[in-house]
Amino acid sequence: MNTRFLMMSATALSAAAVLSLPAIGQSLDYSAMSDLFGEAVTAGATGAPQRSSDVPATMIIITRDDIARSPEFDIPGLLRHYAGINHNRFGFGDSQVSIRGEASGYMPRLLVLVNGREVYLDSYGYTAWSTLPVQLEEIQQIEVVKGPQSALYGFNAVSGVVNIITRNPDFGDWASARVNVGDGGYGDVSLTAGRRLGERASVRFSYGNAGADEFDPVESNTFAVSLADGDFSRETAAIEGRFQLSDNIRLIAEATTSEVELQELTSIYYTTRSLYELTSYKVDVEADTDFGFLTLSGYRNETEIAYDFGPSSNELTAFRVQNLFKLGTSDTVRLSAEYREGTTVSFPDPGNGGFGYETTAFSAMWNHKFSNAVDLTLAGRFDNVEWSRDGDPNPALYIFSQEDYDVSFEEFSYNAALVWRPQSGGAVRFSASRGIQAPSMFDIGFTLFTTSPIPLAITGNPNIETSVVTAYEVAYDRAISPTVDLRAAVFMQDTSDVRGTFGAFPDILPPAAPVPVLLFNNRGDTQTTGAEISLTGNPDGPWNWGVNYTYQSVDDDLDTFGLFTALDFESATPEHLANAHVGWTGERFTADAYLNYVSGTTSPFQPEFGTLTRYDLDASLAASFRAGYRISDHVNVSLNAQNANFGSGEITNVNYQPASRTWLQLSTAF
Amino acid sequence: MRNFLLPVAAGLLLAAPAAAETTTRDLEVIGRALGFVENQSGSERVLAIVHDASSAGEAEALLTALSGGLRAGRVTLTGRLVSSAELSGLDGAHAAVLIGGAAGDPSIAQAINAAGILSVASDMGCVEAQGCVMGVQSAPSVRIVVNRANADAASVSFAAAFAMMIEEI
Repeated sequence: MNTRFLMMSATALSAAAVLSLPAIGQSLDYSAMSDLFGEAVTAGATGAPQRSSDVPATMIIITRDDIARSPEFDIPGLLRHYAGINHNRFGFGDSQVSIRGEASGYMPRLLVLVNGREVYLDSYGYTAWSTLPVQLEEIQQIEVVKGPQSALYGFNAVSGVVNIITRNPDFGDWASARVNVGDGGYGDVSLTAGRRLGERASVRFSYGNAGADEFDPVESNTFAVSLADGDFSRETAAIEGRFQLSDNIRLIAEATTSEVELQELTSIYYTTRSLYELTSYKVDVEADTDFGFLTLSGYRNETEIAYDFGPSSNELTAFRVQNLFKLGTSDTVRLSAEYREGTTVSFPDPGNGGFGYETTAFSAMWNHKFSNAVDLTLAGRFDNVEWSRDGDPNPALYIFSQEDYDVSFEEFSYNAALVWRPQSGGAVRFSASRGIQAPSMFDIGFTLFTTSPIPLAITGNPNIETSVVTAYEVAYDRAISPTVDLRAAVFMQDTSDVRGTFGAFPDILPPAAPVPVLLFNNRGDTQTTGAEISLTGNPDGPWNWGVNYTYQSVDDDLDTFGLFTALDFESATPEHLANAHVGWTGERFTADAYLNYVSGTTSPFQPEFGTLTRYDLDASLAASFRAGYRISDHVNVSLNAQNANFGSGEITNVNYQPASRTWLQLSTAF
Repeated sequence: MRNFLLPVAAGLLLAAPAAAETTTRDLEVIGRALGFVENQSGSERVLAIVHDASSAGEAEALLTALSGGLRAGRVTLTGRLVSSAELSGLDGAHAAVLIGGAAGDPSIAQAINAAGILSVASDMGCVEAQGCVMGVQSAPSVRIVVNRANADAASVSFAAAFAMMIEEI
């Protein structure tokens, strides 16, 4: 964009609606920018490209080098080593991640995107990480933004956002092939490639196929024991084309597919085995115009999931338009508008009419630099959501009629941050935010009649309210020596009207309902306060290291556990998290060691449906290792041991027992 | 008190460093930044090293650093010495780094801008007040400042993402 044209007319401004996700992030030359500025760059915090030291949010940026040196086979495993990240591996392929709070089954509070496309399943409301159609070798960087980010990303970005960005073939050809073979039946093949096709086109491709034996179930989880023969399998593919339509206009088209079968833990702490078949299509048009960096985006997610408790078929279609521009020399502005439509068939009872929602949203971000030392970022978003159902639930079983589902709500979310860089060094961030967690489609439209343990109707609730998360944070980053960086933060998050599922006791009894009803409903409030600190060192020489610690304290004011809710954040959130890493780099050899400590918790537990109780989990310390050897410039081999001290299984959750897994990795890259 | 302060002030003035010399690391940052200048094709960039008599030695050192081509991100920089008294030597250059007294003479930067060539200096005073399009510092952390008016005068524009990540004045 010619900076001479950045002074724009009011007419141009009003015509330039902006999108709600950092679309420019798909075209950033991250490697070139990082090399130029000597630090990671991102568009994940405000939608505008920024140096990591300038972002008005607490972020983690995990680079390709970080990924290559980790003894992990999936993205949640990578994330668990960083401050503020809560992680639970409920099965070999079912990991859940949360930021500054419990990583529960089917965690609904973290929004996950791949290249700006939501991979969060807003039917049930969680991310099935194994279904992400991404191979670790094709990731440019993983950005974790902590705290509510609804003003930029929309609903459900309440504990934070994970934005996964793949390598851009416009900026260099590559090809990789990798095979992992390990104990526990683990095998994993990955192929990725990116290549320019002439001057005006490029293509990215990836394929992965993995399988493993499932861990042993927790013995007292009788339902998990009954499913113990199920193994994990995963097959994904993605293809992306980038086309330079003119000097200033680029079109990006992507299609992906995933098929995954695995054991999981649901939001009511009940085991299930699930088969996912997901496809997605996405098109972005980017125009570097005299009026700003304009992006038009559209994508469609098609989801078929076979849970134990019924099949689910959902579609999400989203369109966005965004403009990002500078005004003068000190102001950056982003404007966006979004329309999205989510639909699902009647679930799990197939006869009650499909249902869904339409959302219209507008958002804006303004960043103003008062000086080199102080800048302010304000962002706001307005959402209007309208729900409807196209059939009448059976009145002999369910309390809501078709008309009851004609509901709508309007919500405003914001992010505000002041960044101050004192002369003494470092940066201090003061931030406040209001995030919105919308009811999922199941929260509103779920219908199931069961006769076990007694005749019951389990129903979504069209009257459920949105959860509102208000958060405040003060953070301080600085280099305390030329080779040691410090990052610290204190935070408070208050969630009102926690949306949640039912307990073991009916919420509504006859004669107010035809049969006893377990209701999806708001279950009270919860507050989390805490602090985190991390130190990383990259001294001259072969060694590097990092340590981090997180303290979390939760205060719940929820409905009675067991009777009316399965939620218990106060007991289930570990108070202390600590991680350490040391790495050594030689001419051909590399070695890395990781430690992860999680303090003890008491987890909700539902070994059979209707038997909601608690389970004490001891503190755990996991040690993982990786030793790599560069055979040639293009061929590497490594030996990886994940949770090496866990032996045949360590009870770290109420579902399956993560075991030590060791694998040999052979990879080639060009 | 005055008798005390005057010598201290004089001492401070004497001790104040002249504008820091341009380093090889500065050249690398300049080269990488040139990769984000719009309407320039190819990867070869010729950098004119504009110097006065007092900075001839520094200029020679930079030319040596660029000998054989300095790979910096998307571009490869090659150098050419240009005396501030003979600016006709700028022909064919993509950018000009001003060093020594040349960075403090606004007429030199203005002449370079008029030729449509990006003027840059590691002396931030040049971009702030002496007509340079860009100021670059590579230590202790990378700092890039672009003077919008001077960029317009030189008909130089930058990629949108780059423009949002630097300081503009």
